[in-house]
Amino acid sequence: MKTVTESHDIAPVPSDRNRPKTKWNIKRDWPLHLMVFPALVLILIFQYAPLPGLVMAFQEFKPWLGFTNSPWVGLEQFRKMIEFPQARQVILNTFIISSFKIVFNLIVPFVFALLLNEVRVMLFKRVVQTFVYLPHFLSWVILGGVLIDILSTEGGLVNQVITSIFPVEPIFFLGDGDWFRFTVVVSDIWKDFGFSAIVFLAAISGIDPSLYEASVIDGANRFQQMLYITIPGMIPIAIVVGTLSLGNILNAGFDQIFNLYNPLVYHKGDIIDTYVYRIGLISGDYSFGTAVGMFKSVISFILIVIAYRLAYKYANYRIF
Amino acid sequence: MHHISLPYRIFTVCNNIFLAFLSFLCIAPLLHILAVSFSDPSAASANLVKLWPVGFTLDAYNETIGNENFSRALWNGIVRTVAGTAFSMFFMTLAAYALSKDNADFRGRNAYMWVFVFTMLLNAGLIPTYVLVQKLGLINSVWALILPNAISIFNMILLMNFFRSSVPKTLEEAAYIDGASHFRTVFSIYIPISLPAIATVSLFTMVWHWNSWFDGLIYLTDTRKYPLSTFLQTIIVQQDTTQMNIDPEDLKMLSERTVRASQVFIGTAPILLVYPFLQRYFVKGIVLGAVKE
Amino acid sequence: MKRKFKLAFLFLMSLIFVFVSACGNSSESPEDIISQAPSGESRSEEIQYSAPFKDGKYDPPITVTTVGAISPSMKFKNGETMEDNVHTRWALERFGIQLKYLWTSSTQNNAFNTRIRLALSANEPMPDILAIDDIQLANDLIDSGKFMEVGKLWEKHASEMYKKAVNEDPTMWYPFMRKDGAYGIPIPEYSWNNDTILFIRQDWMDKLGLEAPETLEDLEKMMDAFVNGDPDGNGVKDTYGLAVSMRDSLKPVQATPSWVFGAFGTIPEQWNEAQDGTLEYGSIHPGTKQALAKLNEWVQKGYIHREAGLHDEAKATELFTSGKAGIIAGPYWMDRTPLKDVQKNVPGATFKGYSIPKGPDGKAGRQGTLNFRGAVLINKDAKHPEAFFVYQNYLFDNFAMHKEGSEFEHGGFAEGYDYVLIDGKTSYNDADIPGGRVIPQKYTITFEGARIPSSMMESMAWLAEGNEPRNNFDLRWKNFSDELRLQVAGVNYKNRDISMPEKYIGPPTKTMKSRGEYLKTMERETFTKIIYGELPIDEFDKFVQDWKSSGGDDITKEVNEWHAALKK
Repeated sequence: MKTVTESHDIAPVPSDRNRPKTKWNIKRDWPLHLMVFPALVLILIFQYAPLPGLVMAFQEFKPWLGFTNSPWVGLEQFRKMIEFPQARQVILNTFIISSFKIVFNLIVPFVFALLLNEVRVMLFKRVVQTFVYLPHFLSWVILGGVLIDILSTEGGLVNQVITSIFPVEPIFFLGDGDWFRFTVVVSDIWKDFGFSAIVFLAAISGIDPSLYEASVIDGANRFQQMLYITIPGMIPIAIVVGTLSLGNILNAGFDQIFNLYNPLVYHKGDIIDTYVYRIGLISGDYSFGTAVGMFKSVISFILIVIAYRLAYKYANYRIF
Repeated sequence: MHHISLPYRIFTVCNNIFLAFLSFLCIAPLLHILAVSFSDPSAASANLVKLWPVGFTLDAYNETIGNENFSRALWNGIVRTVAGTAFSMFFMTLAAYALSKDNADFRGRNAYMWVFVFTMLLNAGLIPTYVLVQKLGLINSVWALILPNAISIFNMILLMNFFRSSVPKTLEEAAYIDGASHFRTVFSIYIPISLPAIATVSLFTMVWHWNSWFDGLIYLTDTRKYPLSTFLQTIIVQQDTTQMNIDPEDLKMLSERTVRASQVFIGTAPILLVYPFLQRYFVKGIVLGAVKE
Repeated sequence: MKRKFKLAFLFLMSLIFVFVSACGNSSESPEDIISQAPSGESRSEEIQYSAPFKDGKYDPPITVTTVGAISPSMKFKNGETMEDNVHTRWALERFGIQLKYLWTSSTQNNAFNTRIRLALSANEPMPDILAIDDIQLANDLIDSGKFMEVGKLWEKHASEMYKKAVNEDPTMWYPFMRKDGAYGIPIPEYSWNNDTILFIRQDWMDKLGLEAPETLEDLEKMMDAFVNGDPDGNGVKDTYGLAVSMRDSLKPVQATPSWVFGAFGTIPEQWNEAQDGTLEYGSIHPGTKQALAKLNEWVQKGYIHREAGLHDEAKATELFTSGKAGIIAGPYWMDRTPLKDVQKNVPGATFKGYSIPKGPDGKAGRQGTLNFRGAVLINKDAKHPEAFFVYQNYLFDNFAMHKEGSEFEHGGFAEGYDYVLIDGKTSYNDADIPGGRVIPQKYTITFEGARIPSSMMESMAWLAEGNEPRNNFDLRWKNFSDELRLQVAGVNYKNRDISMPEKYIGPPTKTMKSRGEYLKTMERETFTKIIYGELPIDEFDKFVQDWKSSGGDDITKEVNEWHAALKK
């Protein structure tokens, strides 16, 4: 029996999945190749060409000796990284803080986009959306000072509110290890949820309106519409964003932590980047920084690949 | 027929109150900083300013805007951002379109994809990138700010996914059958349908360019070429506890909180002006039945 | 007999020979790595010019390349830039030296230092002359081998005044010494510029009938009165005794508590000279334990804000400038910025400078400032190395003391820029100078023109006692300072003998690089928790043990090797 692909009764359909070979078809595809070309060239030049410089991670790099003459030390830098006494704690802190951030930085904007979507008055909608995304533009240098003020145990606004409602002692947000992590995660979400929600709002805008029309005919109420149309329409993008943000798993937010931390919370709040920064101050060691960077990248990549696989297996969704 | 039930009405009211509260929470610190920027420096440095200026003065804004180099830096920033965003968006969109095809329709697509994705694995870091830029002769040129990060893998993958999910396969096939070339398809079909995505990614790119200050600092040797963000960095004095010798003159500027506060707004204002134009693409009205409100 | 004598003599000679050569061959000792600092005692010779030189300038003009470090306080006007301004034009006019800037960069965010490191990595050519204020970076540059030995050059060509300035503290050569000489010429800076004095609310003192605190005990009584005596008269107990910043360090520049440690004989977080002449780390000195206990006590009593451990310098000074704290410790120049704000924010508020109080054993100490700010490096391949001395000698001879009859005699660098003459009298007022005041001495190669370390404080202290200016230099400071400024400067000068500057100014040692960060973190955590009350004071002893065994002892050894080699 002739399969669809072998029949020549209809014009060649672009989807031709059963062809075993993957040879390039330049004649047919040349516009596509052309479209990819500039991006490819830029990537090759600016991302791939400098890669040999990573040899720094295996050297005792001195700027004046350069890549070719700096002494080779093999895995010394990596060994240092693992052996430094606080290394384990610091990596753990980074993972914990980062994971919370990634999870909530996905959920909160998602939910917010859904809620905002239910607003009918256009002006209100746009104003809220604008206000909410503004904190993204503040730097942690400024925010740090503001946060220290309002979270203070002596006269800070937040504690004043808390102690007037609940019969508790003022919470030392920035001085207690666990509360510090909490503060870091919450303040980061506060700062960026508005901006992150934009992607989800865009996803919602892209949902085919006819789906809503059809659902109304079927008798669905708003809530059901949200559950069966809106949310599924946003899931693909959520998966993509979530997966890509895994690429940041070991970047718990240097700027933020640097401006908020203090010796009382080193134990639970010190992350890889602040730690490496302090080491760099003493030794001006580029090789070490490069080695750490490599370590971070490799871990991130592994996680991304895992997420990609999971998404494909369970949601049948190919991110790449 | 619209179903606006009672539970839904209650929900709407609660929702609106909640969102309003959230907005206030976000805007309050900004109001504080705005107040500081218009306040007397003494009061500001003693942290006596809450939500309203104390001792109203425009001095802080004058300090920055009145600086000879300000307008030049502003112009540089605009040029860099506009050129950078246009350049990036053009090439990323084309590539994203091509990559949104399956490997069967576009032989070699998977290979290309892996080349792009692989860059997420390793990043060479500051020194090797600098050496490369220097060898390419881009030092002190605005291209050193535009080219190196022109292609953002994150944004490109985002675009690619949007293309895939927003444009129905049938539409794509219909265009093919009608004999449209790929270029025509991109510009006539994909882009118009994916405007929310395009607007979003453009916004991300624009904000990134506008706020990016470190690259200006190291690649531009002539301080007159600094874009605004880099320029602002050089007049805000950060407390650097590693310095053994602290110049009292520099420290004098440190305590000028008002100047720092004013720079938040000076730096953000241009983006805020452009924002509403992009916002309408992704903040859409509710679809109730067949009527879009 | 004769033969035995000859043999014995030969044997003795060979012994001596072996002995001497064995000594000379110990390549491990630091003596070989660092040589002696230039003594500046030899007389300067006539400079040999590398290009035609006539009437004090190069004719035709020569080009000297350098790079520009632009700090935030460097403002320009009249369309001037770092590359072309009143200073560059002056250098051309006066010396026939055309200064060419290969590139300029802001000093903020470590940008300038990063820029130089990147330039090295990319093998960019280095400038002829380079002034670096970061000691670590200067050392890296010297180690790159691209710069020439300058100690001998300095000995030959530096003028009397220049030598006098550097010789006020010859230890300023130390960080730049190598096996065969000095590779950087230190840049002298004003002494005691960041040393600590106390600022106390005079109106509070008057209201509560308090005298100047001589001892720590007096100070505690005063702080108690400030906290419990309602000095701001609002009926609420909302005032503190002392504003301190302890977030980043125990010896920040502003709002520092390090003088509390000084009262017990040490300054923490730095290397001090012990009784036996060796260097010891201040944080493990027994005095630190007593000081930490003291600070903890003050937190418990409410003299210090409970969250002082979270406060950086800006936050701490807020307490004073908003009128909430009565005492703050810091450099004399705080009188203008930021402390003057308190007079604006709190009606009737006044303050004065006071000496550092003594501890129970009569000891007193305060953190000190180095007498130099980085160094000048000269490129190995520079065509005209002596040009630097033509330039700098002139500045030391004429600008440093505003020599009478020189172009700087009016007490500034360039008229119309940092000063104007009104009826023959110099004014530094921003309002009087057309276009606003800018500071051209900051455009110079050595950051501030030329400074003789002891000169400024000595001059201000002289004026503070009510004396008339003796020369143009005194006159300049008289015109520049108000009464309060002179008062605080006077106090600063009075306390100069108890200053304890950092004594280890060499590059990070081997163990510092591998264990330094760990030790520092351990110290900061332990100390902050002790002060805050989370750990008992006896944890300190455990800390000292841990510090020593985790690398502290090794570092102490390395530091002292360096110190011993240079002291000779």
